[in-house]
Amino acid sequence: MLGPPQRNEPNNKARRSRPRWIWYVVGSVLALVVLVVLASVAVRKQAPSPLPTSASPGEETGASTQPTPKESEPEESRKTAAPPGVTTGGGGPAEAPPVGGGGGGGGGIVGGVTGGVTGAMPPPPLPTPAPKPQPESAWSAKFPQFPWPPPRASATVVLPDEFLRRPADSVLRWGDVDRTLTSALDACGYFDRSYYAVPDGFAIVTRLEQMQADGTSKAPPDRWAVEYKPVASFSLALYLRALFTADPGFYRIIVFVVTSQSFSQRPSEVSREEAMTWLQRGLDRLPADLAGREYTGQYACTALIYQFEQPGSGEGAKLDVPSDLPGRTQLERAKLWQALGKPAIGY
Amino acid sequence: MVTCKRRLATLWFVGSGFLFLVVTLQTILGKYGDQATDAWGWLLPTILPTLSLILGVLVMDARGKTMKVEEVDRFLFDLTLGLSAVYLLMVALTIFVQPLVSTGAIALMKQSKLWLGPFQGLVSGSMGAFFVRRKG
Repeated sequence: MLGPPQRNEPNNKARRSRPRWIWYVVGSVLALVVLVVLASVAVRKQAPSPLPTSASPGEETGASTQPTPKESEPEESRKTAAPPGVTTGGGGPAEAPPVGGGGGGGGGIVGGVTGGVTGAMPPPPLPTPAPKPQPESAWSAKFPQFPWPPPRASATVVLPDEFLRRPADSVLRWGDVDRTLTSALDACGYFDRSYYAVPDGFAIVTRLEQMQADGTSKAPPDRWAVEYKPVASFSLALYLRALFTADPGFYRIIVFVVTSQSFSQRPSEVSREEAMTWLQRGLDRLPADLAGREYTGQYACTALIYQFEQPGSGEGAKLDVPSDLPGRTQLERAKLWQALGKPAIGY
Repeated sequence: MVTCKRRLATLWFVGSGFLFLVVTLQTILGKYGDQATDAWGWLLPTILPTLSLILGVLVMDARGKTMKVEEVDRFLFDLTLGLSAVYLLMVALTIFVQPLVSTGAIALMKQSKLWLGPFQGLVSGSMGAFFVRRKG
């Protein structure tokens, strides 16, 4: 670079030494490029398996017997949401006199069944037809309750009745509705799900998935990764976009609520971590005792979409309320809307 | 000596200018969201002290208020230039590696203080000794 002494350095020496310091700059830039490429290779090699295993059904059932504070919190609302003795008549008055020893306690389904069991007592005059007595079985104690009223969702949509009710159906059962929903879920890749009890109905919770900002599901394995990486597979365009823009991660959990009860949502918000536990705490399938129940005209299926946004990798995710995308658009982008609308799907 | 100072100044101003440009673009394009203050709070203390030192000496030189040193130790110059280049490279790496790691951008910047802090001390020491060195 510079050779001592450099007294009164002539111009031609300075000119000769100029290329040398340029090499420092060029070398630094080259080293930076090499380091970035090496880092990207290392990141690609890491590629952790993003698919955590779900808890076994036995564990889920066991866990469900221990209601969480959140589950036990809306006890009063459950009392009013499903008056005992009214199993299918969702429009029944909340102040209907309690029947039997139910005491108005328990969830909607449990309350309804209790009312049915105690139907041996003189039934009070109700405007709705007397429900068929259905014995309370073990599932009522083990079927975990979905938080009720449900926490505030990012988007909501009530599915058209024709999605679930085919013209040829004479009597539709809960099991039929479950088959329609699960067939559509399977067709769209939502293989992991769990079941919860809601007042006079049930809920199906899907696994947390990653989606694009426009609501379309990401391709696996990124789709099911709990933590997102802005540049999962290296490309210059993706890299530059991730370098200069926020490129937040979007997550979604869909809850299908099948119930005869109309309901509102709780003002409280659910965190992503709490919502992720829904998959582990529910049952693996609809209990057989419930599958035979009739899905009358008073029932409806509502999709609650919980969308979370993570500003950057390694940062906390927040619930988007309300979502920029309406509920129907979310289901369309997830291709669930189309799958549910296909006549071939179902039973 | 004057040539050496200018080369070091060139390296620092080109390198820092590039990093400034990148972080400015990131800020404008919303990379840091409402945490832009944290990002700049990391970048400015990382490079500004050395830049201020260089600029101050250059200004003093221009006004003829510093003692002219005619000779400079080649090893010291190479060491300073090398340390500066590697330091700027590591600062740049902290910015450019962000999209490839799972750690958040701001968290990574805060974490980088662990290795950039001591390194900055070395660079500042060599730069300071170089720029204020006077032949007795």
